[in-house]
Amino acid sequence: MSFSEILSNLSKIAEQAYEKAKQWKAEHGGKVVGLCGMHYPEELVHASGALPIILQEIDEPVTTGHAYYYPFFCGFSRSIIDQAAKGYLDFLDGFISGDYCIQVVGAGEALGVVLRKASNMFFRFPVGNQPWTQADIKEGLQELKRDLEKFVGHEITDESIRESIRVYNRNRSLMREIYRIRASNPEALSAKDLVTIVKTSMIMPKEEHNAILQELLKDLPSRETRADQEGLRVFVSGSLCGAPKVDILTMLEQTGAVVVDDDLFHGYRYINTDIDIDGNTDPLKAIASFYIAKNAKVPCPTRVDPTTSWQQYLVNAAKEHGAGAIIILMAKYCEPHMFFYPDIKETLEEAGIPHLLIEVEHEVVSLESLRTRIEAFVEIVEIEALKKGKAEASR
Amino acid sequence: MSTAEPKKANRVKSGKLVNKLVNEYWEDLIHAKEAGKLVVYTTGLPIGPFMAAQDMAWIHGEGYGARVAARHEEKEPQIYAERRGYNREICSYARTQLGCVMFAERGIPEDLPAGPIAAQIPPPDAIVTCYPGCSSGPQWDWSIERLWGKKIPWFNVVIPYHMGRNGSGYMSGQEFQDEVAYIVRQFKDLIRWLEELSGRPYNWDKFCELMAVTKKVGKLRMEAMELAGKTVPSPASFFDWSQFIAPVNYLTAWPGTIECMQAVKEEVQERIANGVTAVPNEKYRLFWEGIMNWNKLGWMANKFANYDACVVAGRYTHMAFWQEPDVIDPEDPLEGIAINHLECQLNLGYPITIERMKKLCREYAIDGVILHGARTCRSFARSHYLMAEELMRTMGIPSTMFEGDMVDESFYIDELVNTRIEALLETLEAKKSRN
Repeated sequence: MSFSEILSNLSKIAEQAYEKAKQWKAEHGGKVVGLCGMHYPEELVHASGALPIILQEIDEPVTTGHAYYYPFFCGFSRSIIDQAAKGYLDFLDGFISGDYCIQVVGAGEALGVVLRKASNMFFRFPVGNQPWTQADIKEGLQELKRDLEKFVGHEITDESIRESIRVYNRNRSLMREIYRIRASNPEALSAKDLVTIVKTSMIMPKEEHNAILQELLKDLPSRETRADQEGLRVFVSGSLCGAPKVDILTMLEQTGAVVVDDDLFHGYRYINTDIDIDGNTDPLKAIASFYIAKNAKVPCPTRVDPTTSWQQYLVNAAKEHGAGAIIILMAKYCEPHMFFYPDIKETLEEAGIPHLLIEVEHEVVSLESLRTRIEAFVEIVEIEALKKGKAEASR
Repeated sequence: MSTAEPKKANRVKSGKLVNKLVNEYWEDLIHAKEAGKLVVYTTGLPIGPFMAAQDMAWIHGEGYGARVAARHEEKEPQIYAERRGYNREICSYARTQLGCVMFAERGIPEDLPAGPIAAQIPPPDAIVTCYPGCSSGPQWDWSIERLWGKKIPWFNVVIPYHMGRNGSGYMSGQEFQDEVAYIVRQFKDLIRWLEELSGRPYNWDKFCELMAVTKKVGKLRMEAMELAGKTVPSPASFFDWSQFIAPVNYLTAWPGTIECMQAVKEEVQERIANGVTAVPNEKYRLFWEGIMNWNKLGWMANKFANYDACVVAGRYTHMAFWQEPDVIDPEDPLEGIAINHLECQLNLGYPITIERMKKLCREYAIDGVILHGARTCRSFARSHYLMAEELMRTMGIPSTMFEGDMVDESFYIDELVNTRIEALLETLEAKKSRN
């Protein structure tokens, strides 16, 4: 299969977010478990023999779901409730919500009512980073493990968890390799392609995804750089539980800008760190440590870890990737991000890094007005950069 | 349904005692540094006694937002916070306090003449978070910590969400027991941390004394509310009980709180004896579901009185704030505190919450439910639609909902509120005439 055909296939999988899981269920007769967004130990679910998938925000407007949730909740939580209310999630045998965001807690409660036949599980994931946090996270994992064992009807062995971790580590490392290659050759893949690659990893068996990535990587290094695309290098940042609207990324690239990296959940946030294990490691302890390490690498505003600094991370990331600007995608009603934005804004201003804040709503208001804002932003940053370059040259 | 002379709520008179205590508290807090006290910022649960035992002052973020709003001083801090980039969809308690913190940290801009309470908050020496059932609380305190340049020592007590897994219910089951033990362990760590912060051994005797006061106050309040709620027509309303939140929240164990609660219980007893009611002509008994709206307290009380409706009880007032005083052992109080905090109204999984609500609706002969969809308190609003459906299906109790907020008045559309309330009361009227 050619490089383009692989990407095209992945796009189709991404567009029909749950078809792969349904197909797997039909073929294997196994159980499928939906995870409500970020921060879930997929490896543990995988080790139980069930297929974990991350529930996705879909483009469809919320209609039936209005009967269960106020419109002033985030698009991701409203969308998954809407999908459940419309019967789209009836194929799930279980779902797991968590306490990292109150809107997800509420979504889990609504799913508990709507998806009555599915097993309702919960991941208690203590925030902070105190000397006892790792052990507390492990407790939460143990509770979830007990729930999962009851759900599948058998014990989940340490070895099976370690084996699942290996599969997931492989997946993350393959995607990081794609990121690494793309960092020196951003035109090799579009930002949309990258989101598609990560998103499909979340909704299909990892073993199958690994095989696809290996195929993809055969041709990726030889993809030619198009020298005519040397526009503004931008870093895309966000704390979205759902995939970013790819139209926005495409629009950005159409202005000539190049997305050099990101900290999106459907991006580098999902793949940045592996779980450190060897043959004898306590796997739950390893997963707990992974959460802290992962957050140290790419800070998440829901983790309330004062040893991390998301704003400084963004400054460093922009410098590392030679990004001339940062595009911030903030989901409307996303409180964790809203609490952080003023700090990010001030820090970027102090560092002289221009940024554009785009508030993303589930129901897109007008892409065209957004296009004007993006084009104007890119132009201004480029003009400012030119002026600065001339001023420096004349010194 | 309108009347020529608007009817007014007959509020309980002992509410004035609360005002006195509140004024004392804020006066004391403003001068805390001069008195040589460390000032600890807190949010979430009423954990004042932990600090009071060590002779530290504490400020409660939500209490602060409510106080500023009740004095109509909230606009300036809210505008100031928005100028920095805090979105108006953030928890308005947080946004209001963040504005006040900015006054303290950055000074007061000339065009924002901040009110005395908003502007006189002392800077924090430490932060203690103890937040149940809401991820916003720790994120809010983290924002404060960042605003002060990450120089403030911070302790976060994680209150785990009591989901109700594997049959665990209100104060029962393995999950409940495990979570209580988890909170107790953190309280012990908190006490060690406070010892280090203050540089002296923890004053357990004082702490136990304060918790004995807390138990007594909690018991008096619950008894008074139960007495009032089970009496038809009711001598006191949800709006009265909202006034009595401060003595069981940030004023927990403050001197005078026992007398205050004793007075309201006696007033309720007197009212029952004399047939005095909270609204002039109680025809409908309602339940308030959602957080309180502090700058609309009097407005709401009179509005319902004018409709001959008594809002008898609410999840906010009746399902938290030392709602289980009997489990507090003043000699060994940590477990009792943990139980009250774990099982408070925001922290319970939906199946546990709805069972508790239904129990109150049965006991207090509730006709209808008001769902106050506080726009920026998504923790409180998260299960409203589920509740409405369940109460109607299983108990035939109708409900109405309107958007509002706890301290940001701009989220109200008064005419919409009127229409929604009238619609519910018409439904209730029709139901009564059918019966």
